[in-house]
Amino acid sequence: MLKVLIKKQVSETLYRSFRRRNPNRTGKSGGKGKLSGKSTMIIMIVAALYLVAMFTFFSVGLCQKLMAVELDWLYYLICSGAAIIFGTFGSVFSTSFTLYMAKDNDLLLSMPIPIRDVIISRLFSVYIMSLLYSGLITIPSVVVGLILGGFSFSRLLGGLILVVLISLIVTGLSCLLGWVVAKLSQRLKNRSFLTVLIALLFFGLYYYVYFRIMDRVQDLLEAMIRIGGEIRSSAYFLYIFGLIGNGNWLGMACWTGVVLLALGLIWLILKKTFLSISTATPTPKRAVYKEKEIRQGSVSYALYRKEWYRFTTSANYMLNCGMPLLLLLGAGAFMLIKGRKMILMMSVVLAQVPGTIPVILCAVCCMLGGMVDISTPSVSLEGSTIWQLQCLPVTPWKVLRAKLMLHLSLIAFPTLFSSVVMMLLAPAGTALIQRILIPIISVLNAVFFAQYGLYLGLKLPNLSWTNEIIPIKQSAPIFFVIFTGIGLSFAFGGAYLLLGGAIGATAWMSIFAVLFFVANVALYRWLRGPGSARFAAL
Amino acid sequence: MLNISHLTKRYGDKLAVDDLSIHIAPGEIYGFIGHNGAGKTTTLKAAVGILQYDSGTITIDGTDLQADPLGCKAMLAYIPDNPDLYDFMTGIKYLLFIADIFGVSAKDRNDRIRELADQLGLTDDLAQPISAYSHGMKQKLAIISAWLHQPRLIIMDEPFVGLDPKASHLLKQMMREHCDQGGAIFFSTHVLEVAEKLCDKVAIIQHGRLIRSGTMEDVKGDDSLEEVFLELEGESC
Repeated sequence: MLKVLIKKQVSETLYRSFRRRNPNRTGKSGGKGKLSGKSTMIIMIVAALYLVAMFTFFSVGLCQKLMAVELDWLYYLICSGAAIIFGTFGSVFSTSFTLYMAKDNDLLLSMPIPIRDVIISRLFSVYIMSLLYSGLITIPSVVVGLILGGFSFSRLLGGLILVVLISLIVTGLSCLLGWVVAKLSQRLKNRSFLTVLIALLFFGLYYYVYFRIMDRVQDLLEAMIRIGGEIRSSAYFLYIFGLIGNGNWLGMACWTGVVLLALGLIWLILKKTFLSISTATPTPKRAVYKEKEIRQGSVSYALYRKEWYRFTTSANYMLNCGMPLLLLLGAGAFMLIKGRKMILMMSVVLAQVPGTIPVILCAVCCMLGGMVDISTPSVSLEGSTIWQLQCLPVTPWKVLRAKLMLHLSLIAFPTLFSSVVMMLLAPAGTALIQRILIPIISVLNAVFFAQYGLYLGLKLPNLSWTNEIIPIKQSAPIFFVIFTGIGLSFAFGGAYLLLGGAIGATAWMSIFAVLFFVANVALYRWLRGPGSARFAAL
Repeated sequence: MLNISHLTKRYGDKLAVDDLSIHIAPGEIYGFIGHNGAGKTTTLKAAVGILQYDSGTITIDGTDLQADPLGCKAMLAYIPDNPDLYDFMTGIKYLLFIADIFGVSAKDRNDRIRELADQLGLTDDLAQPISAYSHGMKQKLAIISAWLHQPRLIIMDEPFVGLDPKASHLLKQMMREHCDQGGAIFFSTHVLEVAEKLCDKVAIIQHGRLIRSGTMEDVKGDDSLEEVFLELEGESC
């Protein structure tokens, strides 16, 4: 029974992620599904390699410093902490949906399947997610530790145990937080906004701590021996956790026992509450309808408002696709406060290639703007309700335009704010045209990603999801948009240092402005024509 | 009102609808009967412009669906077999959305929402999110939204599924009143007793082909509709 359920979980994940075939289409579309699956797999592998390379680089630097002063255990402890934070953030928002809010909960629970098996199969998905996210840090750090610290059987075993233990800790934490989210969801009226608020507070706290640590990292490295000694004496349990990576048998035994005990407790909580939470009907205060004066609105406004409701009633949608809006605003605000100091530092570091600073400032705006992917899952989110838009007397283009307008209306102010701040902060010698090009390119970039996301959403739609987190967070279009955004920003900012210096910042920025403009026109034409036809035929 | 002529639709190698022709005049309630997978939903979806078809023509009040899809859609309302509505909206927001799309004036929408919601006993729940609705409540909301803009043609796929007896009775009355005022209704059902009592005309589809159609008397003669249907099914087996 359990095997069948796990097989279903795995096939669901693989099917939703790598194949999307419209049952109304036949023939060639089946092949297209396979092609898109391959593309998704390639982009995911590239993304994973990119993250692994980044964390390997981080691990090498840290490992060399700490192993030189015989603080191997502190190296493993720091890497483990980073993996737990990264892994928990990566999987926590989808855990409550995977565990409690899956659409097939009722179906499975109505069958003669032990609840235990349903929970285990769901936990299996959570565990795989936790392993994937935490493994991106733990595996490179263990490999780096083995290479730089010297290979031995006990260190290899310790490393493997560390990888497994951390993935289990992440699973446990995700389950606990997912349980809290599910419990809160049952009672809150505006739970989407409250979930977003709580998550933002959580993120804010995380970044505050992170930046504080980064500020102090140099001091920490210098005082590592003293701090290491303090941890060793005052938090001995953390010390022996760090020893696991060194193949310390006491550390391995103690922490394996502790983690298994904690998971046992979490298992008891889940088993006791799973049925009541997964079958409960949310019971916020019941609103009774009172007739009010109603005004007639236009068709375009009605479609826009529908998209607005879709966005604001889903905490997942707001958090995963809209949070970079806050980063854009935050970047603008940060530069307003500390911009002068930053520009001064950049002027010193980047003095060799003239005109780099306005290009870099613009690239930052572009990168943050490219991370906003509100339009990307909007087609897939129609899901089983797509029949409504298709049978209403509205053109497909009007529907797509409403999706674009939601993205653009939300990103407009943050983009203008941050780019104008960057424009004003550009160093004194910056040409006027370069200053003006910063907001122009930022706006063109925002329009490009709104259209590009919609284009990908139409090209690779997934209308048969059982959990909205799949199109919002785990779909190929989302990966494509995020990595295109990062890639384009690096191409714009990074390549200037290599190539653009020869032609000057004005020419370089103008080339990108023209390229964005041309791409925007091409995408606009595609969306109005073939894209609209594609939407009608979904 | 609705003229389906030589409609053919294939899914790959499978012929879902084969050269099907149906004519529905104003004032008629037209029932559509067939076994599961016979091609009923495919025909209904093609008639409302959701599904592209391979050949044939569909006209609504003389307007070709492929030539002027928006003009045709403005004249009709559709209720699918499983009313997947926008769960993220409240009932009233959904109705206002539909009213805006069809350009229903503020006064008319107020009056109609009040009247229809009161009739179907949904008024108090209109402020609730649709995600909190039962299947029957969603079906009632879909019915209100279909009647809200006073379409000339209403196409429904299994409209009685999930409705309580009172709402079911009310829907039959609403259907009759709609047709008495010059509208037309085309709906599929498995409840043959309902079709027999309610429909002016009926069509029986089997494996995508229309095997019998016409007035209720023409189709069933002195037998019950159930007997005729089972007999036709038996012949095909």
